[in-house]
Amino acid sequence: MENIKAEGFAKSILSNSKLDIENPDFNTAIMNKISQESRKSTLFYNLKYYALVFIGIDILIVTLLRLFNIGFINITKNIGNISIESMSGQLIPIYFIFLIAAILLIKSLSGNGYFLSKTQEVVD
Amino acid sequence: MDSLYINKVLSGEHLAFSYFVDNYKNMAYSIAFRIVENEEDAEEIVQDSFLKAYKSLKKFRQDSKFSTWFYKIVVNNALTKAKRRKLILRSNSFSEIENVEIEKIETVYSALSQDDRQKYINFALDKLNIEDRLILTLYYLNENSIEEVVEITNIKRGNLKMKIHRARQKMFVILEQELKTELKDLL
Repeated sequence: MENIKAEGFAKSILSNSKLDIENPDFNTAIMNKISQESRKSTLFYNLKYYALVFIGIDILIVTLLRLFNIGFINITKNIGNISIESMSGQLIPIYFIFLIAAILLIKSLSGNGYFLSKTQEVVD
Repeated sequence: MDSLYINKVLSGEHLAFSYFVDNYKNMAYSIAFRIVENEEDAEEIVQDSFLKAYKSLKKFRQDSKFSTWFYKIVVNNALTKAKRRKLILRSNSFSEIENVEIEKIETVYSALSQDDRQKYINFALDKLNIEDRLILTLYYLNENSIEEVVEITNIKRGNLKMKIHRARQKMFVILEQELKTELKDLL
């Protein structure tokens, strides 16, 4: 009985001990920090995404060129290891044209909402 | 309701996080203040805790309430700050807790103005050590269950009930001593 009384009294007196944040800019300060954090993670996400796209396109172009038997790079066997020796000088511009075209295509598709929907939501 | 906003934030609507700031900032501030006893530090701790919660929201498995998970972050941040500032757990002279007459305290306390009540309770809490203040704030002010206080503070369940009881008695003893003068004035 005494314990219940003490419990009730403790609850009632401690309800007077609640403290409030009086700084009116507190919410704005936190939300600004959170926006900054969100932008940072978006940038990181984009960097990762474009790095993956770049590597993917690179591999695709090399595979296509190899598939059509174009002497794009010379591969020689070197004691069990495969080493890339050199890139054919004439094909370098073709490689870059392919690469830029593919990146532009991805970029235009992403602008139309085909890609990066998650990232765009974060940016908005 | 919390889980709705958690999902919103996780799907990229970072502004939805303001729901948590609005709802939990004052309680988080009360908890932090009871540990570090400094307004500026307490505000800083709450800000850092919200940022930490935002960054690790993906890791929150939602098997406990958001508030429990968040207050645990606040308590950990505040304790780290307290340790850095060498706020040592004050040992107070309560080797034996005296019996207190709750009815007498209650009578005097209820006759006080709201401002005085706040003054006395803050004074009594200040005299307690960090752990006592923390468990009283969580259990009585925020009305967390024993399980939630265990999760937030990492105090063993078996010890917690006894600690709450002792902290409450210590608070009553301090209040009784402080209210003696008020009692004399009343009579």
